[in-house]
Amino acid sequence: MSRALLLRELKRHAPWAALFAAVVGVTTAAVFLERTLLGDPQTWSPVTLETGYEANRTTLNLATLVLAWTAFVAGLLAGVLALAPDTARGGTAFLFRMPLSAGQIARTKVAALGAYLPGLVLLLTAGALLQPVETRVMLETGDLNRGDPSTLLPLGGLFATALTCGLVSTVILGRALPALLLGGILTCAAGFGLLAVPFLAFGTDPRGLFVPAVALFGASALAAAWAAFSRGSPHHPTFKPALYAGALLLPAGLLLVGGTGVAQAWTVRGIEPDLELTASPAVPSVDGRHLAVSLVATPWCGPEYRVAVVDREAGTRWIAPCANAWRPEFSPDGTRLLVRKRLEPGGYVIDVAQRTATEFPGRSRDGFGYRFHTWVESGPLFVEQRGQDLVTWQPLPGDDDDPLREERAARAREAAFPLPRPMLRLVGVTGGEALLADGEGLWSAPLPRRVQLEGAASEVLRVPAPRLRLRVSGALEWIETARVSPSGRYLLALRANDDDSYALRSVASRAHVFDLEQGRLAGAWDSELASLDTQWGAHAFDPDERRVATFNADQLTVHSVDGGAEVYRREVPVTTNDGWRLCLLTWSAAGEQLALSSLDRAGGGCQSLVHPLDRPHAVIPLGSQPVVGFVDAQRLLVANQPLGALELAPAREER
Amino acid sequence: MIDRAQAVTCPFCRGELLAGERWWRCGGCKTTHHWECHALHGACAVFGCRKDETVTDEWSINPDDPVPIGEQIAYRVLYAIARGVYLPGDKLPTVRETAVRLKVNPNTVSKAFRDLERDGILVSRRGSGVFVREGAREAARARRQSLVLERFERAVGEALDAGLDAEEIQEVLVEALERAAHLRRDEDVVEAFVHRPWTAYRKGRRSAARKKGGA
Amino acid sequence: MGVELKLSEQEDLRVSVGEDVDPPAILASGLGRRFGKRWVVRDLDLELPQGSVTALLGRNGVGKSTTIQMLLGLLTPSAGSVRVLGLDPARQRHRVFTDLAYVSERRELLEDSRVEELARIVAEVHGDRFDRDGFERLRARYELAPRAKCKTLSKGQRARLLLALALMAKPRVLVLDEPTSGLDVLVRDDFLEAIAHFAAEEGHAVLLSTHLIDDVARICDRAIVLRRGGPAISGDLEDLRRSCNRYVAHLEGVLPYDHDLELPEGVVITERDPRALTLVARGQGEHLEHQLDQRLPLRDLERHPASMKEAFACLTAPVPEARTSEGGAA
Repeated sequence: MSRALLLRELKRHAPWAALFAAVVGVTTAAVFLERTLLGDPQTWSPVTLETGYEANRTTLNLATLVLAWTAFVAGLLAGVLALAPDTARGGTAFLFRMPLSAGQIARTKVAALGAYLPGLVLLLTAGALLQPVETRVMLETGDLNRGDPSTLLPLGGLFATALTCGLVSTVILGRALPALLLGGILTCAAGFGLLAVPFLAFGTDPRGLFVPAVALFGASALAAAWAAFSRGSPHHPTFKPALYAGALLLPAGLLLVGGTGVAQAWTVRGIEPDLELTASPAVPSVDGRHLAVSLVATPWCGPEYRVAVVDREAGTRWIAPCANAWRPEFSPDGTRLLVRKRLEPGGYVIDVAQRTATEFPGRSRDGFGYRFHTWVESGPLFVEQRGQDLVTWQPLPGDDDDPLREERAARAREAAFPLPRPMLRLVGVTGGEALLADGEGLWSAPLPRRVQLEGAASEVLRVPAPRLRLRVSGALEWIETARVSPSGRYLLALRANDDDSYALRSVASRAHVFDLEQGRLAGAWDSELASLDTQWGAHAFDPDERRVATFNADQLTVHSVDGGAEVYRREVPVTTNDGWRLCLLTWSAAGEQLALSSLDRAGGGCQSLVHPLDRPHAVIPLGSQPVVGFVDAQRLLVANQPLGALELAPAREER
Repeated sequence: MIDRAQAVTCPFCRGELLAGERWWRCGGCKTTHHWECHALHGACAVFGCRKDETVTDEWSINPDDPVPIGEQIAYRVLYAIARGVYLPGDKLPTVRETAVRLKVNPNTVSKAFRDLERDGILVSRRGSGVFVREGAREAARARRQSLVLERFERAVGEALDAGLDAEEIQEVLVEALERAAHLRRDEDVVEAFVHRPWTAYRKGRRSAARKKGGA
Repeated sequence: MGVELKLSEQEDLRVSVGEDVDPPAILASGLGRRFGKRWVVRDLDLELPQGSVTALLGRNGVGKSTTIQMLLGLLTPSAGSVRVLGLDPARQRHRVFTDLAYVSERRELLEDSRVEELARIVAEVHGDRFDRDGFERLRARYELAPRAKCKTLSKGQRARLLLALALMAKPRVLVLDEPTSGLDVLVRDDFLEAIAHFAAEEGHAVLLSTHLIDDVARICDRAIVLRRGGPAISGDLEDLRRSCNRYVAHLEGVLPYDHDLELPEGVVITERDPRALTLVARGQGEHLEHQLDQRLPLRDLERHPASMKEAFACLTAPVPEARTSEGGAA
């Protein structure tokens, strides 16, 4: 390699490398500032704003974004600037008239591109350092750890793709700025083809596909770029290299998309042996006979979720025939199970006795898109409060690919009625009635059932407001969160003592349990309970719904529903300096044992204890196995394990 | 035109510039050299100087001329020898020097030199160069004279064709001789004419053609 | 080249003339290039003997640059084969360019580099063959500032720089594609001097593509004439010139300017007056004169040897098929 030539390439690149550093540096700094000064962006990121709920399911990771942006800009700049200014001004022609082979010229240029490396490494490091700024645990956070090959591979692939698109556009256009534009467009198109097309065509998880796809595409793209450079004419701008590149990339892309789809289908079909329990609490049916659990397997093509039902009496278990579904919820009679699709609209209703699944369409990109649901004869009825309107929707069975989808959607339109009183807040739905709370008390309103009328499917049908019935009177305007018990009989509500509590989160507040059948306040107690929504699993009704277990601020307490008396209290120190932990609180089937697992925020460390309630000082340590649910008194389900049951060790007395 | 030179050496042929010889002072390097040498080289050949546009234009090879370039070169050499610029036994510029000076193909120069060698004007000694053969000056002079006379005869013929009568031609000739004698001390009045015989030939032919065409 | 070069005192008149048994520097056979469906060059057989200065002539758009690019491996031929110094330029371009220097009409340089940096790069690439001292001398003579950036150089300076770089890499073949188009007479002189000097070395060959017939007549000894729609003509320059004749046809009566003349094939009108035509025709003899006599109201027909310019006006004329389609070219 000629040293003088390399020196000349470096000199030529210097201003552009500076530009690259400036562009990416400014972006990184902006993201960093935005993170540190403006707080947690997850709460107002576009995905969250659109779905409107479940902020912690957001997968948009700004650090990843910075890294991707860095790789994109670096690849594109390098690809375009390696050739374009030289081609436009005759430099490439000059080089090709010297006794230098195309390989030698390319090697020199590639070596000069190494000038970008230090900046790239610096910025990647900066991007990785943004990680600790995150303040919230996200169950679905893209696992972007430093040096993780699953991160570096797509980034490398993105770099390669951008580099290639830059090179190809250069040979097509020959001038730097138009080539940058075209290269950017090409890269975006390639990215779209890689992520969106497989997603739309095969329903594959883009994150899972990204790794092998981008690596493969990047490799073939580099080959195409080489063909473009060596076989195309570097003397005159020409479309020929694009043909070469296209001839290589098109089969590669087809092979990639088709092959990935086939491979993924194949993988997913045989996924069952790999399924493991997720760290989310098992959902028991009201009669206690069945347990619904979420399973996940993470093959190369991204996580696959399944729902399994465990029959406690028969001791059998089966996996529901629905792909990529999670978050099971039993109907109050325990015969049906509602599951939601993951990253796709819609979900299924599973008939527990028949073990069949009926598909339902959804109105959001992920699951059904409603906050509450209740059960009517024909299926789930979804309810949501939108401003001063209460909106209900009862879907008709059928999947999204149904040719009669439009018609079906028209027959099952959303119905909305205005809330008759101001300041009413939807706190839960049970038995076909919406529960609303305001300063006067807890109201119930019968919900309109299926509406079958002509009209466009997208129109919301206005129906007259139903008559409200006051169930429990009392000043309930400060209900922060509420949960209906599995049977639908009780409502557990957390009421802050004043409005400061919302901001401070864990100041003294008061928990109420309302008996909806009898229309009375069953019990209340002072609590330091934080938001029930955010601390998923930090409360649990026992199987008989006579007691409520709560865990907060290192205190595990059990209160009697009727009267609110404290029947059990124990300190479980899990709180660490880095904030709260994810806690799983599950009752045994007979209600004599309570398992508490706390996972740290990275999902790594875990401490599990089983508390036999009849022996206040006994505890059964389970080490680092998150307990998902009890099969019976002696066997329990443990996360990150295949669907099975563990023997419970004898309780250990502890002081 | 300066008619008296001091005792200086021509940087081209390294011969002394004698009184009465025609010479050029280069506008670029201010050296003085033989007119014929200059003509042969086409430009000033002094180190660091390669131009004197006036001279170049006036005396360079004319590629547009129907007379082949090889013959033009041969005439130059011939006249230089005839004038005594190169004496018998003198070494001529090399083919390459000549080619570079005249900006012509070396093969053409080589061919011209070989033609002159065949005619007994030059002799090439392998390894040392091309030299003027003994007795070449007379041969060159005779050749030159015959060429001049041939052209002259043709010019006279064309003049007659053009309608001039013998007396008019004589008058013109006498006037031209007188004018030339006035202009230069040298008696060799035909020189100016024969230095560019091809030009004269062409001029004559053109005027003849014009007259014919107009008739 | 200039006087500053050590000129060989050795002289041998038989040097590099005629009887060369050396393989030609460039040999192409059946060469063709197609852009889409249009053949720009077709069935071209071409030979550049060692020791010759060959002109590549032809009218605009006849494929001279395309031919040169194919000969150098910068453009892949659609048909035919090329051998440059025994190598296939399409496959071994970089080896071809060790012994071949090319100066193109576009005069590309590494724009951001300075003159001295460029020389350093070229010297490094060429290795010991590159004559650095010679380049310095030539650079000084061509008045190129060593610190000047290439993008600030004038067209003439660029041409001179390229010429100096090309010569000092000690090539055996020099290919010049319109090297002096648009440049002043001094740059032209430099190029002519350089070609003359270069060609005087044994085994060297020059291919010169130009529109300046004066230069061709002066410096070249062979020529290849590309013609639209017909095979190329190649041969000794003097022979080519002699193969053409200029005819002055004096006419009976007046021939209007707009009168459409039906001339025999290969005859080109150079001057046209109402009563006289100056024609240049390739070949000679009774047949042509007879044909002219038949088609023109001839009073008198003079024949003269053609000048170089006239000869090439005639030689480069498109061949009949193309000519009829163009409706008479002159």
